[in-house]
Amino acid sequence: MLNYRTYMNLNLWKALNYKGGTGMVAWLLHRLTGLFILFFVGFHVLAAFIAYGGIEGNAILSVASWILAVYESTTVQIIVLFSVLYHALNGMRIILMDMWPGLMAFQKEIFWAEMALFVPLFLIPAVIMIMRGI
Amino acid sequence: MSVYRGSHKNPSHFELYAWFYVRVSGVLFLLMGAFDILYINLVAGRGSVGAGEQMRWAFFPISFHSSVVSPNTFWQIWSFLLVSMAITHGLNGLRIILDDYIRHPLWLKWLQATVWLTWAVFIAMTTWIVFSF
Repeated sequence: MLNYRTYMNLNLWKALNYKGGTGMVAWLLHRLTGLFILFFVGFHVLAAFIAYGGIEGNAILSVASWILAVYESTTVQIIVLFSVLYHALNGMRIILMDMWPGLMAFQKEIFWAEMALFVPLFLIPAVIMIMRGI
Repeated sequence: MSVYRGSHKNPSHFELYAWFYVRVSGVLFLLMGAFDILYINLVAGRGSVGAGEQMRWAFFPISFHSSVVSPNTFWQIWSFLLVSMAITHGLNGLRIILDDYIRHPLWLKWLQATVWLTWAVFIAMTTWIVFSF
């Protein structure tokens, strides 16, 4: 039974050994991709506002152009594609199970169905973007 | 997930509405993204639009992100709705993550106040960016 005391005694090793299976992976990826999208959109809006917002001063503009160079790189664009696609598809899986709780009995099958959609939807554009440039 | 902290005497429906908003906006993002992809391929670009440009246009349809669509009021309102809903969806997610990991009540209050302030600042910056070009 996981009570407050065991929660407080959790360390990284125990956390990594928790056998949560596909549900745990799906939840963790949903959080990480969500946080990534939040920071990506936040820094993107901030950099665009600084770069085009009529803000004066070379120091702040060089910060903006540095942020722009980071998120316009191929690596970050591929991570954006990965994150948004995963977050969208997994979000649909969550909504499906919220609407029809009976589906939770098949949560593993739904996760693998999601992966069957996610892998080609991510890999095909990602490969095209790497081969032809973003 | 986050713990419901409402009082039983005076129940607030805030968490319920927030939960519902996340679901509704999530579905809307998918539908709006599908519309963006269809528009740029079938109406604006007709097969000339690269994968990266399609992705950027689908995620945020602003004329900056496209070489084939010129700025107009429809896309300004559309992209403003999309990004302001996305900022709300994302910062609500951050609020729930803070609720999960910040155990000190005062820290939690301050950090959640910061989330709301950040929301207002980003909505203001987004409005400026979208409607200035």
